[in-house]
Amino acid sequence: MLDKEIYFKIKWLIAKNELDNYKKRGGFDYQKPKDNSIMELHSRASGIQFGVRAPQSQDIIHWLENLELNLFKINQMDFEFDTKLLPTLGIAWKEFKPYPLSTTVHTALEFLNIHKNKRPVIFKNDFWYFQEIIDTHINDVSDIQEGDALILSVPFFETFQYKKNMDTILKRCCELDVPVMIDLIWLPLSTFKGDLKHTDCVQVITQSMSKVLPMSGIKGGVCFWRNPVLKRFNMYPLGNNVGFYITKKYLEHFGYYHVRDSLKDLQIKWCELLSIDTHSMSICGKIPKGHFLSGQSLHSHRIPDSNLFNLLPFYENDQAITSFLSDVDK
Amino acid sequence: MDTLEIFFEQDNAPCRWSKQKTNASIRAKYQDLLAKDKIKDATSIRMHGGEPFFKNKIEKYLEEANEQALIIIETNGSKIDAALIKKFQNVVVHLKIDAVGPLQEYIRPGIEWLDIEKTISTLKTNNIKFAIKPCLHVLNILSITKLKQWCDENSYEMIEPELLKTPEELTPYNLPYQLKLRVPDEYKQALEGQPTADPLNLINELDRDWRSSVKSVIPEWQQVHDNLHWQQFDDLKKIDKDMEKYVG
Repeated sequence: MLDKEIYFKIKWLIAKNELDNYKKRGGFDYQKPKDNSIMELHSRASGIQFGVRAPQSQDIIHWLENLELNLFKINQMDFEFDTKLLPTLGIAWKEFKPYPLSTTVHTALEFLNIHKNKRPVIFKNDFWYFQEIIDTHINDVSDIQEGDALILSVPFFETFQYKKNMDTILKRCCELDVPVMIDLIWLPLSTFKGDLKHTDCVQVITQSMSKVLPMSGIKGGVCFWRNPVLKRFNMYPLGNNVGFYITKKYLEHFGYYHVRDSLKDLQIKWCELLSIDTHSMSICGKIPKGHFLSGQSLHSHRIPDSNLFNLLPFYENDQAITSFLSDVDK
Repeated sequence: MDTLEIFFEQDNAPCRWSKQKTNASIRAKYQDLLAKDKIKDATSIRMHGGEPFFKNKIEKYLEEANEQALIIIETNGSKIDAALIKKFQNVVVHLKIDAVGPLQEYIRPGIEWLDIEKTISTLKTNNIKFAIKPCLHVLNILSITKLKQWCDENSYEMIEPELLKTPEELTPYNLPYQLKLRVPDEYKQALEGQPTADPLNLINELDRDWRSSVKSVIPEWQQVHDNLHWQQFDDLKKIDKDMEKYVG
């Protein structure tokens, strides 16, 4: 069985691999060591478990590297989007109009700007960036008040599962005329199923693809604004056509849950090896109480009692870590 | 003689460790009210940074000031409005410069050394009195004599450096032990006192934020990275070596 010491060595190996191979690192500066000094490797290794980015599997990297992009045509592309490419979710898609997504955060800011006379609210422990830009963090559905505007990630960022009282939340928002923005960024990686009810309060739905495909530096996906949309959305769309195009191509070529499904075997393998429980989110495991990984949650710097473990580095370095562990066993 | 102190909060090129202020301080909010009453009669006025010339915030104060008053203006040296200040007979500009060339650019990102040279040239052309006013910290203590030498060569006055107080990690006495021997003798006094914080993590974090590297600007810091005073440093070097064969 793995222990803390072996785990630390694995993190070190992951950090070294990030430095050595650009296909094993994320799109942002902090997602790799700056150089091969002990200090930098230690700094990176110490934080490997934090945050999650898109899995970078061979087939997706290969597909992205070979995707033909006619930028001139993409610039002029229409915004048609077949919602059959998405799960049903209980959303009446025909009530919404699709647009290229700029970013989730920008859409949130646009949503809040539209409702600038309302009080922006999120539930406690939702996506950290929402926490940065919204002051009111509520605990309970009863905290939602008339005159609020709610942003909510589905699955919910803290647990990567639907909030247990999802129906009650949306029902209350319908009753109080509270507009809602729903962020689906984690959904394509989740096995959690279930249609939403009381979706009349939903005004905008964002589906960023940057947690499915390694395009955090490009951004994009699709978003849906409830009809009738503001005139300015058509006069001067602010979305990213390149990200929208890649999203459509991915969904047409692979299907919404391809990345999630391709990780299933690795999730089982690494949950077994690490003696942790599987989770409905394909890139996570659940750390049991008293386990040596307690405190190593992907949320631990923000949500101290979180038990979600980030398996992504283990998937991407599967061969190297397996090779190391087989030598440890000898 | 009482000196009227005027503080400017905003800076076009703050020191690399400065944090962004999202709200004006209470002092800044009420400063105008307080200064307005006093400035006409003040015989001595000191303008502190931020940067007085940024957004030309200095102008509204100087318009009210007595032309005979002693006026000391602290500036980062990136820009100067000579026409605005030369009407004062007793004006002195304190250029907040901690080092020469690329190191100064590293300490205060946003100003090129060339801009500082241009400012000095403007001051000289307009016969405006100035002095170099450095602050001493772990990033410039090894090379502070170079700044002194540069001042001497150009006949610029250099005021004795003040010790940086915040952030605490960067105060001179927190200089890593690996570098203490390299501090010029005349500044060794600044190292006195027990270290209270480790500067390395902060410097590393700032390097990441500013996309820079202390080692490329101050090569002596490589020695700190190569000889970390961590208890487990040798163990980490061994892990690093052991893991090498699995990379790929």
